[in-house]
Amino acid sequence: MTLVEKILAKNAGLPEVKPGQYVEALVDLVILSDVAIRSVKAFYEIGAKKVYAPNRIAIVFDHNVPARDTKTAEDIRLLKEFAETQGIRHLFDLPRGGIQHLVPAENGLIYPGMIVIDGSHTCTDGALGVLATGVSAEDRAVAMATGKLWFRVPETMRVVLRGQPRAFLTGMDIGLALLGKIKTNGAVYMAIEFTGETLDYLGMDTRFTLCNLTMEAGAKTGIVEVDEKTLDFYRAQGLPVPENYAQGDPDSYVKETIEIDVAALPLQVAQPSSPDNVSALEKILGIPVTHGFIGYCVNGRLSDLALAARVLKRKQVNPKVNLIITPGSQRVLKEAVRKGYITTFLEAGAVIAPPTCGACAGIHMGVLGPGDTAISTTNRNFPGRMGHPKSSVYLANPAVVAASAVRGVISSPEEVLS
Amino acid sequence: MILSNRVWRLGDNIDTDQILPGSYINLPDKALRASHCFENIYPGFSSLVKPGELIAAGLNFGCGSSRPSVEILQDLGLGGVIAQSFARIFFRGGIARGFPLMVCPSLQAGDLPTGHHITVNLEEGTLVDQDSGALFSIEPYPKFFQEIMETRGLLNYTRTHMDREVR
Repeated sequence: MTLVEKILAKNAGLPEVKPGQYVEALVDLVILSDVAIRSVKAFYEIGAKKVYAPNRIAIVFDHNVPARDTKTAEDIRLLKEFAETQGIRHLFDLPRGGIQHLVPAENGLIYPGMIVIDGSHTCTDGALGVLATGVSAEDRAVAMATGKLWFRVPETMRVVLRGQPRAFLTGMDIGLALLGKIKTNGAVYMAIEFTGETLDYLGMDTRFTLCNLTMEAGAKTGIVEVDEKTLDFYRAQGLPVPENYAQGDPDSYVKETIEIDVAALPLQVAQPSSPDNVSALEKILGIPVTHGFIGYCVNGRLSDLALAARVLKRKQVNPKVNLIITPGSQRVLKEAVRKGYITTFLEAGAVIAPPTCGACAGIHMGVLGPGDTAISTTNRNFPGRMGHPKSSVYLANPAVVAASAVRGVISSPEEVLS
Repeated sequence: MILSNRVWRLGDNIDTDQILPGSYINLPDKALRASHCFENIYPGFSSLVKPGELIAAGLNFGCGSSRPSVEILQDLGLGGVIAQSFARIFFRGGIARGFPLMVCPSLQAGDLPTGHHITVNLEEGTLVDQDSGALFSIEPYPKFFQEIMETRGLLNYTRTHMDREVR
C-alpha cells in the first residue's frame, strides 16, 4: 500500500484498502478558519450538542482578519464563542496565529500518519507525511460531531524529481512545471506523492509549496514520505520528534508515474488566467506589472522571505509597483524581523501585510482593480481570483516576483543582481 | 430518483470563481448573491435559468476554492449537474447538501447542447438526450449516497444515524 492508503486503512480500522473504495475513517484534526462559520451552523443543524473531541479541532482566523467589516467581526465573535462553549483550546487569533496552512503544524498539532481536514489548501500539510485534504463545510461539521467522515481511497500519482536545481529555483517552479505538464485536471481525485533526489537539495519549505500546489491539479492531497528533513522540522519548532510513523511500501501500486528533470528546468511562470498556463520565465520577460505579492500559504515561509530579501537587498521597488509582502504566520514574521529581512523589505519600498489570505483570495489587503497586472507567489490566477475580472495575475517564485517589482516588468533575479 | 429538464451546457474546468466571483461571497442577500452566478462566462445566466433546469459540463467541474458553491446553484433553483468529472471538494459539497452531481465519463464536447431536454435515472445510471436520442451511462451512487440523497443531505443523514446510536 502507498502511504495514503496505509493512513486510510489505519484510521478506518481495515487491514487493507484499495483505490476507488469508500471508507469511513477517524479524523485526527479538523481545522476551521474564520470563513468556516457555516461548519458551526451545520454542526448545530445536525442536532449535535458537544463536539466529539475538542482537542482534535483547531480554529485559525486568517481570511477576514483583522475584521474587514462588521459581518466578519461578528463571525469571528461567534467562532470564539463556539470554541469557549465546546472547550476548544486550539484557537489562533491573528496575534498568535497566521494562515491555517502554517499555524497548526508550527504548533505541533500535525504529526505524520494523521488525517487532517479543512479548506482547499490543507494538502499543504502533506509535506509532513499526513493525509491532509480539503472537504466541504458540512463534512467538517459531521467530523466534529462524530469524529469520523467518509473518504474515497484515491489513486496515486508518483512524481519523481531528478537532479540538482539551478540557482533561484524553488518548489514553486517545480510545482508550476508539474501543473504545466498535467494541467488543472491532471490529478482529479488522486494523491500526488513526491519523491526523488531533488528533495535532498531543497529544504522543508519546498515540500510545503509543492504539496500546496497539488490542489491546482485537482488532487485530494500531496504527500512526501517522512525522512530526516521532516524530523528536523519538528526539532526546529522545539516540538517532540515523531516516532513509529507510517511509511508506504516500496512496491505499492501507483496509477501513474511522472518524472521531472529538475536539473534542466528553467524558472517558471504561470500566465493569466490559469495556473497550468505555464511558460519558462525567459520567454515572457519584459511584461509591465503594477503589483507584486510575496508570501501567503504557498510561499510565506522563512526560506521564501530569505530568497526575496536576497534580491531586494539594497534595491528599490519600482515606483509604479505596489509590492505587498505577507508572511505566512506571526511566527515567520517575527523570525523575519530577527533575520533583518523585514528591514530589507521596508527599505526597498515594500509594504508588509499581516499574515492573512486576504489578497490571494481577492478579499482585502490588496485587491486588484480593472487593468491591474500582478505577479504573485500565490497559487491561483483564474479570472477575478485576486480582484476585478479584468485584472491579470502571473504566478512565480519569490525571487522572480521581487526582481519584477524592482524593474517594473517581469524580470529574472539574475538581471537584478548582475 | 429521476430528473428530467432542460440543460445548460458549459465547458471544462468551471471553477468556483466562475460559479461566484470571490468579491460576492459575503453578500448577505442569497438571491442577490446567486444573481452573479457565472456572470463572467455566461452574462445573464441567472435571469434566464428556470427552477429544476440542469447543467452539463466537461472535466473537473467545481475546481478552485472550497468555499460554499453548491448552495449558489441550489439558490438559483438548479436541479443538478452532470459532468465528465467533478473537483472533489465540490463533489463532497454536493453529496453533503443532497444536490445531485452525476458523473458521466463518456460525455464529449458536442453532447447535451444548451436547450436540449434530458432525463436522468440515478438508480439505473442512465441519461437520455430526448432531443437527439443519444443515450449515456452515469456512474451509479454507492448505497449510502442514495440514502444521503433520500434524507436530503449528509446533515440529515448523520442526525438520523446519531439518533439511532443514542437509542
